[in-house]
Amino acid sequence: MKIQTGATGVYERTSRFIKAGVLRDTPAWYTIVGSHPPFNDMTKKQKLFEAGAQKADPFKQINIKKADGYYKTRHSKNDLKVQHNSIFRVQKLQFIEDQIRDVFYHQHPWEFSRPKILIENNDADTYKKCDWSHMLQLYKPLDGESVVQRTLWLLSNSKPTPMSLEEAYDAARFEFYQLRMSEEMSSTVSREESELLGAVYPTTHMEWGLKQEAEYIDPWTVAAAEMTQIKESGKSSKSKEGSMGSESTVARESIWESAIVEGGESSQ
Amino acid sequence: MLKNGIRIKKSGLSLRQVRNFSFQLPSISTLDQVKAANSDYDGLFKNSTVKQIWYERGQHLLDGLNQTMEDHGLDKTGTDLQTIITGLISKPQLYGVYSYSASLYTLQFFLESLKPNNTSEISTPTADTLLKTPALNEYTNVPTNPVLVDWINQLFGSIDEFRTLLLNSARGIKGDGYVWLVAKLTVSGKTENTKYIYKELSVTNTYNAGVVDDGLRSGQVTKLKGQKQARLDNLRKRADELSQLEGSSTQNTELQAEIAQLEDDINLKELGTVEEAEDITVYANKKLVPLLAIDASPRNYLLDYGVFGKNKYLDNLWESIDWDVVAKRMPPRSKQFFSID
Amino acid sequence: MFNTSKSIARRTVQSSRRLIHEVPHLKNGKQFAQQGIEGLYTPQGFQTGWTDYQRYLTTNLTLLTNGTENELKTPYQILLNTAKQTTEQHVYHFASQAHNNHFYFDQLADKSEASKTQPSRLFFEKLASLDHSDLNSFRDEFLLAADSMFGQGWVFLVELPDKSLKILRCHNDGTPYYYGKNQSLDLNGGVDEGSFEYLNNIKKLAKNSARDYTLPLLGVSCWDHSYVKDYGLTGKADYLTNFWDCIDWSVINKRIFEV
Repeated sequence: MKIQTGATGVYERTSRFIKAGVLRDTPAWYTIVGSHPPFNDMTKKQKLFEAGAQKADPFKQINIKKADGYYKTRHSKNDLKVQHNSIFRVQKLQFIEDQIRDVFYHQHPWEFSRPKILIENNDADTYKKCDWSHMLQLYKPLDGESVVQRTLWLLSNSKPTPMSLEEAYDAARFEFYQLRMSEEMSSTVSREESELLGAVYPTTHMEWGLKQEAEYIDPWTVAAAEMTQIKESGKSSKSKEGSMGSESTVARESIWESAIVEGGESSQ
Repeated sequence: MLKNGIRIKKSGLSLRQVRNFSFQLPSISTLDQVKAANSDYDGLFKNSTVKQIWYERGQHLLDGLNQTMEDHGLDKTGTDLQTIITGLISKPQLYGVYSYSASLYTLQFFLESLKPNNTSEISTPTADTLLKTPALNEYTNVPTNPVLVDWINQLFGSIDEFRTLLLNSARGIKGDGYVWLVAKLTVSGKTENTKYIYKELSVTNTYNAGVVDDGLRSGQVTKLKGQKQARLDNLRKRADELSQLEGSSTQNTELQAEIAQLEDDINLKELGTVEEAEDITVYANKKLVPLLAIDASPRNYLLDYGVFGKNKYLDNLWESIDWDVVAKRMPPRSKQFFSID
Repeated sequence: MFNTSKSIARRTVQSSRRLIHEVPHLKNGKQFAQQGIEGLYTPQGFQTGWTDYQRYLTTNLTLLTNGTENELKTPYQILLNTAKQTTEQHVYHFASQAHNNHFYFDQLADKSEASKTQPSRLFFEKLASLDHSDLNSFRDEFLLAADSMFGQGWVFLVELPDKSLKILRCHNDGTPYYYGKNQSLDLNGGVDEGSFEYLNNIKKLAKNSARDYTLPLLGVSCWDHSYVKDYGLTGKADYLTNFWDCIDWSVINKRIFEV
């Protein structure tokens, strides 16, 4: 975040204006602000609460009798200096979960391609209901996150010999594979079984996929053609009219929004 | 069956009254021992379950078979189950006879692949076990025959992978069904120097009264389609003849409608699925030789393991596989030769 | 009728907040759990057929629909939604079974209670369309259809869109609501011309995405879970005979679509 210095520098700026003769009268607040200058650091300060991690606040040391019998009545230059720059920075939060997640999804990039519900239907504390002594959960789907949580559970609960991180991750990963294989087989077998009992499907697996895909690709083709047209016209006018071009006329919203709304209207 | 059942109840007759020759329940030594000793089938079934699965249900199927064969006036002398099955699979009018014989045959085949074991325990799991991941490598029973082990390793990767595939297939079966380990026989060459080659093992499922080697069955749809095509050709010919006789202006509308209907049907079938195409070609010159059967039907685990016990039952079943029997059923393996010419 | 099927497919969800699938409440569920269903089930038999099996189905359904488009739907909606999708057949299985099993148990009552109920006059009128003059001949046909079925499955008495009745056999997890998934054939043996024509016909319907308005009135379970515990592996015929005496006809009468 850029620190705003416009307001805190008001005294200096006014002084310069008076000196240069831009302002004829001194403002009423001029002397007061001069004797009580604002802090020039407007950032919110993060505090380190651990004992001893932060030096005592120098502003609280004023007018308190020191060990040598004297009082401290003013801030020294050192007190006013910004110290410990690092404490103003947002800390880098590090969790082992993130590392495991990272490894898992790098090893299994296709896990990203599985459809996912983005609307949250769950309670806020659904995840608290999960018991990671087993992989399958009633409250959440089986996915990469399950592997992460199960790994952590195995790490802290493996008995009698504690597991290393790699061992726990591998154990969780293989459970995950096992379940995925089992589900896939269950799906295939169910289908074969029902076909031999006279079930008929209007579309094959492929056709179904193509149909689903077409639902999104068709409006996209229309939208993309429009976008291309706008872009092309922008280019040609740019070269004629110079650097300003007609960039501002290009719609900034996502092509998806307009396309899908149009599609919805036409189908109604 | 029920018709008989009701009749029997009313008249108090026994269904087992059969004239002439009739099939007898085959003897399976492991089960007979369990029955004689009045003990459990260690590690897999309780004593009462063995009685129900084989001695009662087996007899029930047998009675049904004898009865239906008699009803259809089929000659039983000198035939065996396998002959009946291969003979009847393409005769849908004898569906009952076929189903009884195939069910009995597969049940016997399954039970003969097993032996009692003392590593696994019979237990009744609770609903919580649905959330548990099936154990990957907690098993002790492995094949010992080096040829079989080598063959499995080459085709499936490892015994672990083979076990996972076999048991997952069984888990996937929802109703009645078997999972089989089969050797594929490929016939190549012409009649004078026919070669029988067993190169591959594979895992396959059958449902209800299905049998593994359904090469005969898979031709049926093609045959029916062929009949339809022939009928269409015939109709077209007749329509042509008629129009020539009566002059081209008049059309027999009834005939035309029928032709259109048939064309419609056949064209629909032309847009067949990939699976159908595979069905027609895959068994063309292949035969499957069963080595092992695993029964995944609910009746086998409901009695001893309860509703939630399928996984436990299958784990125990693996422990009970008699690999010696499997190895004995194994045909000679033809290794693949790679020659660089 | 639509109300009935909705209430049968009831799930423990009222709002849009997602909850897990649970075993639904039966009218006399508590009594059945303690004493069984008189004339049909012992408490253990009831436990296997309903409490445990329904739990097995609903738990699996929860596990498979978590985080998918089906997570807010009832089993009835899920089965309709997945019936046509070739890759979702395992989800369909648990939804269809959960629905059918509820449909089946919903119509049961103690023998003494059930004997007090009668099929309505409307039911008898409709029965005439099946060429059955009395209940007994219909009973024999219905139960024979169930007993002669190989493997697992359901037998339904359904009402067709033209208001006539039909006995429908559904193998395994077949559903009466959609023709493509009736699963009335057994192609594991020989395929006869009738079956071939039937399949062709369904394929044609499916190709033209024809709708199905069939609704079930009465259903019986031929799954092992429903009788093995009490009647043994070979006791299907006895179970079916007893089942007939425990039908609460007041439930069936309400299922008939009244204009």
